[in-house]
Amino acid sequence: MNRKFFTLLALAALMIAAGSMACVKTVEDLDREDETDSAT
Amino acid sequence: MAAAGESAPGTGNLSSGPSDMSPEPDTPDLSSGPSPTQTVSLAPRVVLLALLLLIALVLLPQLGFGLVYDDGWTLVANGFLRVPGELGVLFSPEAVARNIPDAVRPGLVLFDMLSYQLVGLDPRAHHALSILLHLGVCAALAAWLRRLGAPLALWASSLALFGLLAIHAEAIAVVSFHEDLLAALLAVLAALTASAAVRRARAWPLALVAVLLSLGACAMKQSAAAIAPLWLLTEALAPWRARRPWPRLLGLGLALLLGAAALIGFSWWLHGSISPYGAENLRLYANRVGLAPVLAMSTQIHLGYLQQMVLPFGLAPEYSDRGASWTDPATLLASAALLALLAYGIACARRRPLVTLAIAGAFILALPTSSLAAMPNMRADRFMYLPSVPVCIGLAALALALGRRLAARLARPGLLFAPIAALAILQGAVLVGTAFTYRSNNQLWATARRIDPGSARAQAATGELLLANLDQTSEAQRRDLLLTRVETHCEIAERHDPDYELPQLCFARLAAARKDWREAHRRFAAALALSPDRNARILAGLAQTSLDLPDHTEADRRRFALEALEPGLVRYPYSPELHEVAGQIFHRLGEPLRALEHYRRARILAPERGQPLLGELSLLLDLGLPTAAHTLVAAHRQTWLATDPIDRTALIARHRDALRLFAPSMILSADLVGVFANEP
Repeated sequence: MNRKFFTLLALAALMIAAGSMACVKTVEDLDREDETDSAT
Repeated sequence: MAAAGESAPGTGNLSSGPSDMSPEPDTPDLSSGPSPTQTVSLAPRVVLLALLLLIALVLLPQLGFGLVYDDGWTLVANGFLRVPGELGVLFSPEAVARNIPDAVRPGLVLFDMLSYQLVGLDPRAHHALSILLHLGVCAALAAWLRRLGAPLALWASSLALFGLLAIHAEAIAVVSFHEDLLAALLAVLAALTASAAVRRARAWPLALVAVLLSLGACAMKQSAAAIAPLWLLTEALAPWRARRPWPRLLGLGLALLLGAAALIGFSWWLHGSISPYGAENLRLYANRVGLAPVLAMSTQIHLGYLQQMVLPFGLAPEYSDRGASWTDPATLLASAALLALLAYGIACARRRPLVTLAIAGAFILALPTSSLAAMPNMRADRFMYLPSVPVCIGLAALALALGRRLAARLARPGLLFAPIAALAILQGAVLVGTAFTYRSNNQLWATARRIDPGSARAQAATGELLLANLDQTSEAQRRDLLLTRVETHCEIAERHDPDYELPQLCFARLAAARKDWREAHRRFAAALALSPDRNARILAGLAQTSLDLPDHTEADRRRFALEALEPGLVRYPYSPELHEVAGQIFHRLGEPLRALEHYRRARILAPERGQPLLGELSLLLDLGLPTAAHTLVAAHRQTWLATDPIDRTALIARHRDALRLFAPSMILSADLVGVFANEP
């Protein structure tokens, strides 16, 4: 049963890693941002 | 850890009362069938370690994050951490008089001082500490639940969920929010110790430890005082084992409160009131619009917290303070929803004590940060770190109950843990993704601005960050464009909050970058008039720009500079920035001894900063002491090498000239060139 448990945890870790890729929103460095079309 | 069947122990029944107790709650049924002969058990220690390892792995990317947000105030520019010999000041009213950051949380300052002395300003080590503290909270929570008699499936699921809960991203990823982790760690340990004490014949030795732990938790963050009523509620509900006698419970509950009361008394002695923020402080939104609109908004905020804990979307590093009307449909709905939830929780007390614990427990723990007592920020994800403990227990029990039904209906025992696994994976993925918001100040404020464009703080901070990038820009057209963008952010910030000092500071630094000293001085003065605290850098700017004011006599400029500087040094004696500016000003005013004294103090208060070292070297060269300059550089190798190479090269050239003039016999042995292998 240990094997099942650890497999579940390993799968969970992989799924968290994969899922987190969808959540990460990176922004470019502030000095490189283009605000030409912004509302400001 | 797949238990099966309705009768399996350790499946976290929502109505789990004493009748649901397993004779060996820590020995779960892990078989695929209900027969005890087929069961294979997992050791609780293995489960605990494996789950902690999973949580640590998930948090590992945070080791690459920088120091952000309030880290500058509490760690990077907090000179008090560099003078452990003056620690005694922390426990006297002088701590407030000298504006020691977070003086009202002496435990936290003590921890920060210790961690700084151990690892300096290494962000990796500080983030590793954050992860360790979070793992400590998880382990303490598991230990407490086990002590209370919770079955393995429930405590392990609660631990996994708490460890991976997305709303914890801010508390774990920002070093200066160690306060939340430390307060939670000590508070849960206090509850664990009290639970152990209440089950012993001789309770008082452990009760004493519980009092100290409760005191320690409140010394990290006063909101941890709510652990006492939570502990009493948990023991009174006794979801898994028979309730202990009431006199014992009340005695231990009072003991836990004693720790909190001691800290509140200390705060009273320190500030002369319970609130450390002052009655007129405009940072407290309640002081601007009154308590009623703030409390109305607080109901909406707390419904939002609940949604974020159950379904993790809408998490943000910045929430603008806003009031609301009690007749707003949103307020009415939020109030009705929260009241209904509380009523349901209380009504379940006998039949489903776990539901009561989850709901009423979360209400109790959320109370101190619910704006009933005015606070500078009405909403922050980190406020939910400790209150999420009962929520996680409730969600874990709910997911396990759902899994049990699913497994029974589909006759697939393996599905028992499917809901909790799915929930933990969802939370963990969002936790990792959200945590990346906090990897740098650029990322943080850009995200804050995107999520909440109406935040004056986010707009002003963006302006200041853009200015910080200005040094790297030499092209005139690009520089002008950048300054125009800064001006836009400053204007938006000022429009959103004209009574806030940060937009004024943004304008002041912009004017300084444009060398418009009169406007810079005016804006620094405006910032000072609006700012209720943390004024060291404003006073430094005010003093610095005074010396360049046009249309004033030299005597007036000197007077203006000293008028800002001298009270500043009295009020902020631990500010390295202020001492550095004092060194520069006295250097310019031709008072070398005073300048030297302040440069040296600035170096002691922030040995990592290069500017005081460069200033002191420049002064020594002006005084004709090139050998002393050489000795100084040799003694501060790392700081010297970390300074701007252009400044360094200029000083090396000046040093050579000074050697020729004042110590020609030392040219070969005291030349800075070649002292270090990578010197230009």
